[in-house]
Amino acid sequence: MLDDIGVDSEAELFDIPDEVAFDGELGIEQRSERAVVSELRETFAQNDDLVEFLGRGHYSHYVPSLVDNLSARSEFLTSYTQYQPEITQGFLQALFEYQSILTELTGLPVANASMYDAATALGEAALLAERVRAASGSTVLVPEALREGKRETLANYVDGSQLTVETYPYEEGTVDTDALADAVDDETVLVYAETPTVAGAVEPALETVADLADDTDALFAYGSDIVALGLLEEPAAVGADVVVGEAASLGLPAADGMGTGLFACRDDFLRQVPGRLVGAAEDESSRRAFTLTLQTREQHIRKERATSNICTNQAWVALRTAMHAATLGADGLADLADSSVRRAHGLAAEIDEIDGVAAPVHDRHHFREFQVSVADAPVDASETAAGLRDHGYAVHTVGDQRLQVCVTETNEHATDGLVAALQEVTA
Amino acid sequence: MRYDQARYGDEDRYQPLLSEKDSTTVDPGAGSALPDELTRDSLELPSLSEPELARHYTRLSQMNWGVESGSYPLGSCTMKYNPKFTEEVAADENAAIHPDRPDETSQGNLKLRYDLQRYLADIGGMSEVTLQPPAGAAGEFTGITVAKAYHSFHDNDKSEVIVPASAHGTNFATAAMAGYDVVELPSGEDGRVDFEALEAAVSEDTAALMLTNPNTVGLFERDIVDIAELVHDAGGLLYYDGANLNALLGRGRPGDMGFDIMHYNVHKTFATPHGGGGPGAGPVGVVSELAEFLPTPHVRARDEDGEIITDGANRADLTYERYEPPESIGKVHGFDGNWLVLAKAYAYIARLGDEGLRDASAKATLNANYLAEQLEMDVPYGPFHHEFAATAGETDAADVAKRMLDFGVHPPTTKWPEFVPEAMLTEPTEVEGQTELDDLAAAFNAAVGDDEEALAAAPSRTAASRIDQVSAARDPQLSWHALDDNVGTDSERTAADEPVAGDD
Repeated sequence: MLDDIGVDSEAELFDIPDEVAFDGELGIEQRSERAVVSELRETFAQNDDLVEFLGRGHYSHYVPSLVDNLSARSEFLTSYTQYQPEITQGFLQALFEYQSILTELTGLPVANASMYDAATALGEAALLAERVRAASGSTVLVPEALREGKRETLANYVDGSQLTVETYPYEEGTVDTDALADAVDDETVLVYAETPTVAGAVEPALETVADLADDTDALFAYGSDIVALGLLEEPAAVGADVVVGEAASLGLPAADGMGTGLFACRDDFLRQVPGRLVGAAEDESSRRAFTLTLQTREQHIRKERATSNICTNQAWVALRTAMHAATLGADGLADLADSSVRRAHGLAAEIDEIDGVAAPVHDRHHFREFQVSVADAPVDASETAAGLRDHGYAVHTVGDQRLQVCVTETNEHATDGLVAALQEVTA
Repeated sequence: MRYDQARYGDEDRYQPLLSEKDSTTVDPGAGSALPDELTRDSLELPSLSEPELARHYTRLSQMNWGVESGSYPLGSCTMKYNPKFTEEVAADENAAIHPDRPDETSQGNLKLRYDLQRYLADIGGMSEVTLQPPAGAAGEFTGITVAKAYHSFHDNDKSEVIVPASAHGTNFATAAMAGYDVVELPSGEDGRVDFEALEAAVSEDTAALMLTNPNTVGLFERDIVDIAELVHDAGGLLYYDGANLNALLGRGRPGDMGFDIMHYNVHKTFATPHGGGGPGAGPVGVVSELAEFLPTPHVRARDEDGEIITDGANRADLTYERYEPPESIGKVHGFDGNWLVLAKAYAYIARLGDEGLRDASAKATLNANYLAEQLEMDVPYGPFHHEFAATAGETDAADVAKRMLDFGVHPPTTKWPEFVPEAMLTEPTEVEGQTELDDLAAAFNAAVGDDEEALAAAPSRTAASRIDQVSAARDPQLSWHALDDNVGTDSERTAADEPVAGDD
């Protein structure tokens, strides 16, 4: 090969000036495959073996084997964006099916495939609101009790725009509608509310939120996750203009924070949507086929006037999400969602029996998780959490006097142990 | 080589949609633990047995093309083979943890994050690296946001980001998203940055110059030291787009060239699977004076005496903790990025080591030049590093690409970069052997030499024949709820006249 090119060595092909060429050692030792596998097995074993009762936006549901097996087929896993649709019909169809499942769940006609996670999807929703807003406003209203990562990501997304982010208060763990009514004004371009909230409460006032947003022609962005959408009133039916949230609650197990952002919206925002869209098309043989569509919104064509800078997204996780949803079917997803309410209610009631401990803190329905007060116990929240850790359980602390506990089918087997440990630690 | 892709379907469609096989409708609110006013009363989803689903997805996979199917020389996308063992590593159950665990209970994952930060910093010649950005474009946004925070901290009044015309579309979009005016820099006649044009563009308003090096036609920016000096003298920062880092592994480091900020595309350079369009990861490296602006949390290590160790990759005696850098920009992802991708990247780098990384850049560059040599097409500007832009001349590059599909290869990126007419941006990567490169060259040569009729009829051996993208965009049908029975039947097929480019 070198002869064909007419050089003596590969080194001759490199056109890096001497003054910036690197001829040192990086110091990274080459290892055998076996050595790397064994090294990392040892590394990961350094994570404590805990049963996690953790949520707050990142959830662990059981992922059926079918999802792991079929998503790992190399034609899916090792492919890339479907720039040549004729040879990538399989992935395009799977993404079209993912979009379809989201439109069913949200009741909105447009869903993209996909955003990075719930936080960046919220950031994109705010930028969408700025683009489609006819009036001159610039305020994005979000609840004060928003996960920090979401709030900070949103702040960075809007930092280059004219938008500013302001908060409105919660009452009893959900929207304080009187306070929100005071906060919404002509400057408001987007009102964001979520259900379940970061504390697991099911929001009862969504229609009021939608009406308040509508009164000033602001958009209502509805935040949720794909499992909850299987049970909760359809977002479109309560007046959502945009739905954002976490989709990988189906498809990925706990993955140290990795997720997928779901993004759906009304039809009239179609040409302002960020990210990839797959549409039905027809091929030369007059058969229905699929293709990436409306690409003139995107950065590789529209450059600085693109609707977003997003290129690589979470396509493979979206594939897994669709597989998981298809495995469950309507029955299975509705059951999983309803179990998420029952488990939370059941565990809260058991915890509430413990002296000095009260749960749930908020007098609301809960989905998967809820807060626990240890205000009347002799230990504070961090002491309680540390004590639980010694028993092999991980829970969140929220401030000095509260814990947060998340229960799904993956940790349900350990709830008796958790309750017993909590009783002991708070005694 | 002749190729026939699997094709399931009938006269009207290919593999039926999940919804077209069977579906059920339930009332989730009936018997729910939630009151009626909070629940939906209808949910309709596909209803298939597990064997039916297994066949559905197996068939879809057979109607798809991946790196393991054959050559995938998509320029600027670095479609390497993805080593199998990295999947096994990432699937370790002990690593499947929640990000809100206290640091002392997640030492394993934090150790990997720290070690990867150090590896990447060393590879790029940077001081610190954040792993939080979940993709290349997210890395760009993080990097430019860091630049903005730096300028703001120093009261520098900056309003512009300079981007060469040959840059990835994400660079333009990112700069605009961060609130900067984009100044587009024309390419010079030799395919590189036109230094005089750059001198004219740089001003006290310049916040940053975003540069890809080697650039998008595989050429190293030889004036890089002067470019860096010019930008720095104006108080600007130099940003390195890591899309083409594969060409430099172990041979050149952006930090040594004067770059202040860079992102790494681990799904390109470090062989994590592209997954049909993600997930990737876009870690960002910075020089020491920018480290305090990195996203929170950042991971650092302490030794047994509690001393912070800044360069302690692969030590067994350290403890790891997350902290907020003093002037942190905050967060760019709800949690800490795409963990599974990062774990695979670490495994790949560890497997290769110094030696393997240098071999990768050598072979990638050799392969690109060898392939360019075999083409019966004009390939301007050579010799190259890891990729080159051949030109289809008078022929439509999109047609050539469609014809190549029939020869059992994936075509290159087409019609981009725009300054090469009918460009076919080709990056074979180091994974192809000589036989594969010869087959790839034969596919190029056969396609580009084909007559108009053959080109217009292509592809014929893929699952679908030529797809009418124009009518798909005119009448968007984006879900199975929106399908009408006669998709696009009234329209003429038109070749999509859009660039087909891959990027971050």
